[in-house]
Amino acid sequence: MTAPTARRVEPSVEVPISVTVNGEAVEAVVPARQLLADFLREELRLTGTHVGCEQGICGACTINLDGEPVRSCIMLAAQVDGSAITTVEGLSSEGLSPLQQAFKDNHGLQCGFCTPGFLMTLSTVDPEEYPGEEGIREAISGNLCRCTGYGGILQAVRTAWNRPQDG
Amino acid sequence: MKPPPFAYCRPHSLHEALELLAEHGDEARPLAGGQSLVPMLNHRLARPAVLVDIGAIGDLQRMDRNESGWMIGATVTQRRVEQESVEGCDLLRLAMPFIGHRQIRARGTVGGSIAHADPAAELPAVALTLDATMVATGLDGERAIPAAAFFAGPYMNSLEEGEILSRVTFPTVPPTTRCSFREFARRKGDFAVAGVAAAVDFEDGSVTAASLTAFAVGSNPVRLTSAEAAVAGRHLDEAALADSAEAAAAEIEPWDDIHGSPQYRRQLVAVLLRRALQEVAP
Repeated sequence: MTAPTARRVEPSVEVPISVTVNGEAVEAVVPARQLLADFLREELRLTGTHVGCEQGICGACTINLDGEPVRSCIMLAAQVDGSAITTVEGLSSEGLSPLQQAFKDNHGLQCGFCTPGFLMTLSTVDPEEYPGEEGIREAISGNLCRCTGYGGILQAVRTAWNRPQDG
Repeated sequence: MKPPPFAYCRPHSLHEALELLAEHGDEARPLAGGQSLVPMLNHRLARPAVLVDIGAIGDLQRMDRNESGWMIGATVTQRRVEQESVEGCDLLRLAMPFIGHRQIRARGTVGGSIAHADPAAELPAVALTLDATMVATGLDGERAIPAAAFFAGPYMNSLEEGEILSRVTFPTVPPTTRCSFREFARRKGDFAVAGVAAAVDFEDGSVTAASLTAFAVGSNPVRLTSAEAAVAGRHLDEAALADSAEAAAAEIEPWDDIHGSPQYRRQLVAVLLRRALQEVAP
């Protein structure tokens, strides 16, 4: 047990947060019930983070939170106080990142709705943790493409991760 | 598909969190990683008036090993456990990759998953197999709850009002104990249709202790006591594997849902257990 301390917090329907988004400091007061994905899209107008299933299944809303890929539709904006976030808008300051270029070159997208989520997962994880062809499949297993355009996506990752196709 | 209104707070001490939970009673819910609770809020399956975010409480983020085992704070993420070697606790390490996806494990917590008590979740099965101890903390102090007494039905635990699960102790096993964790799901990362966890100790090739658990087959994970008895003292030869698998299929009472009939789940558990025992056989 920790020693009793003076009460410092009270439940509130509005929560002040300080968060770094794509390198810029953001101060905001967010509704307690606001999802992180909605905060990014509606308050910061970073609409590259897509909202698909809103239940943590599809991965379209994936962002980089303090170096980990996370689903922003099943986090509250209030929970990210003190954190650093990168969204798809922050992947490159000029032109396309090598990963984005690989998606473009290999037709790694059809309708494009799922693409930001794939890009954020793949740009956040360490490729060395996902060796071989099987590793690529493991790395993207938390992102769904409803166009089922996985062939192009796999080829894009092979290109970006400099990984020849085996067999 | 958006959460209903609630008030939120993020205390920095456990005592403060417990005071807040006590004050708001059954109107309040603790929020850990939120990988189950936030989807439930989105679906409005949960409507707490107050959320007490326990994510900023340092005491709950500790992960230490002592002589009895690994003490894992309630809000240690599954990703962190996955990255640690958790020496002497192979089963825990083996189970981690089956929990959702990397994105879920990055936020999902050990304590959250166990307290949530999803019948298909991996960590409750690991806790039951290893006889883990849950530590419930309230304003009056702590009490230890053995895993076998913790799970109280689907999505139900035996915490009292005003208590939170503050840490879990997973006992370390001797180096002679071999572990296997297996589950079947339709897609990678989906909830298991059925799964099996095994921790088996041997001496001279014979089983001296077997701890076998099935999960996603009923309200809570269940120890396969008949299957354990079927391998006791034996070499894990073909006959022992067959006896144990048969006993497991007979002793479980699987439920029937869209993902599988009871008969299908009995067959899955038999096959998964056989493979798990093959894997641990010396």
